Amino acid sequence: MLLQVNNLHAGYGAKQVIHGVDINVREREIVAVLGHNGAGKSTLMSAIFGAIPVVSGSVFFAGADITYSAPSDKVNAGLGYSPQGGESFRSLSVIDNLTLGGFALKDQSQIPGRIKQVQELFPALYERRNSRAGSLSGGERQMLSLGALLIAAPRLIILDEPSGGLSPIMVDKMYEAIENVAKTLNASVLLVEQEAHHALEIADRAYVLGNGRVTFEGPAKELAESDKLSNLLLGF
Amino acid sequence: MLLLQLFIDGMASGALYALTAVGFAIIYNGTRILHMAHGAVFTAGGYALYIAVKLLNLPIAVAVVVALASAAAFGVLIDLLVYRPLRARKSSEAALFIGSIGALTLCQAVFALIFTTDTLYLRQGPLPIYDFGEISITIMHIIAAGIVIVVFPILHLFLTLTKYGRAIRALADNPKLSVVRGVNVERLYMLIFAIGSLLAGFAVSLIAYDLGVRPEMGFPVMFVSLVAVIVGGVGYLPGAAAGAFLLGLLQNLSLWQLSGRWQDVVVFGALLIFLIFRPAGLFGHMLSTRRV
Amino acid sequence: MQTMNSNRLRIIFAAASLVFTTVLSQAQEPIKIGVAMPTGGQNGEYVKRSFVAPTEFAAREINAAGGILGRQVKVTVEDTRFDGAGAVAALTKLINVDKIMAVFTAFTPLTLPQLPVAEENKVIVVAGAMEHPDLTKSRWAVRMTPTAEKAGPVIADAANKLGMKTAVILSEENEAIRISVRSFAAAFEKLGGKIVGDETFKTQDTEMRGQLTKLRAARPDAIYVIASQGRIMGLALKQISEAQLRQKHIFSNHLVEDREIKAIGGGISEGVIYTTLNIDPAFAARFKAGMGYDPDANAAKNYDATMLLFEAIKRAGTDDSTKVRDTIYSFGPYKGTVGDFKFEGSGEPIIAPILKVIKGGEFVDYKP
Repeated sequence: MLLQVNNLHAGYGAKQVIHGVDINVREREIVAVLGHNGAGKSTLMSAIFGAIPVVSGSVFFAGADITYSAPSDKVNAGLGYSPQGGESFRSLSVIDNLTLGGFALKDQSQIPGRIKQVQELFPALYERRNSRAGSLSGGERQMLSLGALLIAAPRLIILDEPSGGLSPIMVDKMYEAIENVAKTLNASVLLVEQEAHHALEIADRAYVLGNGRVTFEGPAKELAESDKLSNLLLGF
Repeated sequence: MLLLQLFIDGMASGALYALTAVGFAIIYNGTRILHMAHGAVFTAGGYALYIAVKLLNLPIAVAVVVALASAAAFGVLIDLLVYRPLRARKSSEAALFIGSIGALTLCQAVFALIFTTDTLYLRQGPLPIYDFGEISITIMHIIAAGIVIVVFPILHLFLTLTKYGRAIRALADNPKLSVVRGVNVERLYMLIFAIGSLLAGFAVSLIAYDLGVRPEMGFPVMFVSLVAVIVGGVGYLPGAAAGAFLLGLLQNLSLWQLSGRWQDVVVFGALLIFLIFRPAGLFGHMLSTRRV
Repeated sequence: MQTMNSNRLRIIFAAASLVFTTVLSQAQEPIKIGVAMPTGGQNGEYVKRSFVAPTEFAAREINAAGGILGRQVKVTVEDTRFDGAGAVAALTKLINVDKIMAVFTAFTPLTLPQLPVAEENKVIVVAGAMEHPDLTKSRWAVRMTPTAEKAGPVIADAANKLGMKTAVILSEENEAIRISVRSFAAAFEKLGGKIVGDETFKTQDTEMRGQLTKLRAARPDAIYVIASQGRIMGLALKQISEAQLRQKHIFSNHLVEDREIKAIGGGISEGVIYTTLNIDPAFAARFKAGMGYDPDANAAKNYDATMLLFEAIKRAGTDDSTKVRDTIYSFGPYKGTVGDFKFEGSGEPIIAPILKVIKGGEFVDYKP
């Protein structure tokens, strides 16, 4: 098991959002986490990465307890996290954004080589290498967000709404890229989406979250074909 | 001729303002702290220079290094002792601002207790002057220009080409994503305070050598930095430098047709005009993609 | 019977001792005077040296000689900070808590707001070195210095005799200084001279290079530089030297004697001709022996002001403030350490400034 989340409780200050969630991701597996708006999906991802405080429970990654590890240690262990909205350092150039993706790496000499690999994967990031990230289109920005995280050669990629704000054509391209990346890098993917169909297409397994609890867990195909899907997503 | 001389004087004042203003701006951009105690760091650097020159009898080059290092260390110390505890309590930006004013006032009082309120002079007599026809330039003006010409490009290269320079820009741009990338924010704050304070150290070394050291010498400097940053555009470093030069020029060129009594009217009039018509400063458009 | 007797005895004894101690304490009750000045902050050291210490020194001398009317003098110092409200608060405290009969003050912006409070409480305001003419409009104030407008004509006359045709003025923004500047300009132009430049700087300014650049362009024969504190005077003189005005003479006031200017060094005050009062060398020596430094003109004025108050209390035979005030206002000739004063009907002394010049770093009498 690559990632194992046990009975996790987390939230912002006094307001607890996640109430005892168990989730796991195997090696080379793509897992989708679905749920209606406000179900706690993004909060769960932040908590796994340690960007918001964990109240109780634990997160194991590759066999090690990383619940309270520093973010730089998580990056080095192989955990890559792309927060909601395909965030980037907007006033910095594309190349700087990519370079910063490897900030925590102990061996900084690997960075140029990996940037080259990422640019081969996403040629747009090569063409626009000297542009400010803020000037990129929505699709390019999602590519950059994913690309920057790949510089650290993660074993698990956590993506929070990679299709956010993209046109339907770009969403197709994005999912193609995610599948492609997972295969090329032999990485696992933990995917959060509101829009379920694309995610379920590439995912092996899926969880549905409702009000901070897991309400469904099973193979992606089963969920995609189930008529319960829309009910689950609406939180019934 | 008068105009040219006033222009040169203005550029020289601007160079000194720019060193403190950019130091102040780099700290504000990176940490979101309106670091008024930057003025205390400035003064601490001046006293360190005085101790190194007058009490330890070090050669001036070594003494300046001591002053620079002391300023940097003092800046980091203020972050550790004042701002870090406030951050740990999740204090608001306003609370940090009040804390910084408190630190400035406290330091001034402590300096006065230790060194008295007398001016401590580092050198005797008027400065050497260089005459170019009708124009005369003091050695301090020349050194100030030299420092700016050397230090700012180095700072630029550091911020654009090095790992930690890039991290400083990243932190200013998007602190949350910086954490996700594995940046140790608290440690980076120390570096930011060290660099910002180092820049103030350059300015104070020159001013202390010229005019001596006094406990409250950092206060007007602080004020000028704040104005320069607002005029230049909050968040954009070259803007802070440009704002500082503009301020120096305004102060001196206003004397061309007006009496010295009008200096403040001109300078603060300009500030108000900027706040009303260009609230984002001279270079506000450079920030259209800044984080919110 | 026995117990009643002893009780009565006890009461009588208690009453007697109470009366006795009251009488005794009245005889020994010190004469209380206050000092309300900005002893902290920017210019605290200067204020302590030239304003507070001379009064304390005078009190110490009087007390060592047995006090006044057999009573000791007690001096209480309050910091006013450099603002009018702080000055009023400090004085109010001295009046209500320390019960002073006279207060020593300094600086126009602090003293003028203190006057109404002092008048209402019948407390004598002794502003030894204050030059603003409005001070002695008050019927409770006294000074020991020529007023600001007396300096200008003396300087103008000297400049004229030296053949100065044009002059520029560099002065600190300050009400009293403005009066000196105006009196100089008027007198100088009346004598046929021309003022070709008039620039000011603020008390907190450290740079006056821009102003000096402008004054230099006027190519003046003479420059009149005037400030309220030695520190600022030093900065001005240093930058005048650096700006290379190529003037023939610099004129100034007594603050060119300040030790801050010596600390800057480099001969920046060499040749400066200035208005001042002559300090009695015997006093200077006594003061230096007691305090460890040379008194400047302001220190001497404050010493004289303190001694005048003490003399007046002695002459009046009481420390009742109204009577002491009346005694001062009709004092007639008073020989101070900075010259011979005369009081005729008010707190305004009759005395004129003299001129000195700095030669080889020494302060010597100016002879045209």
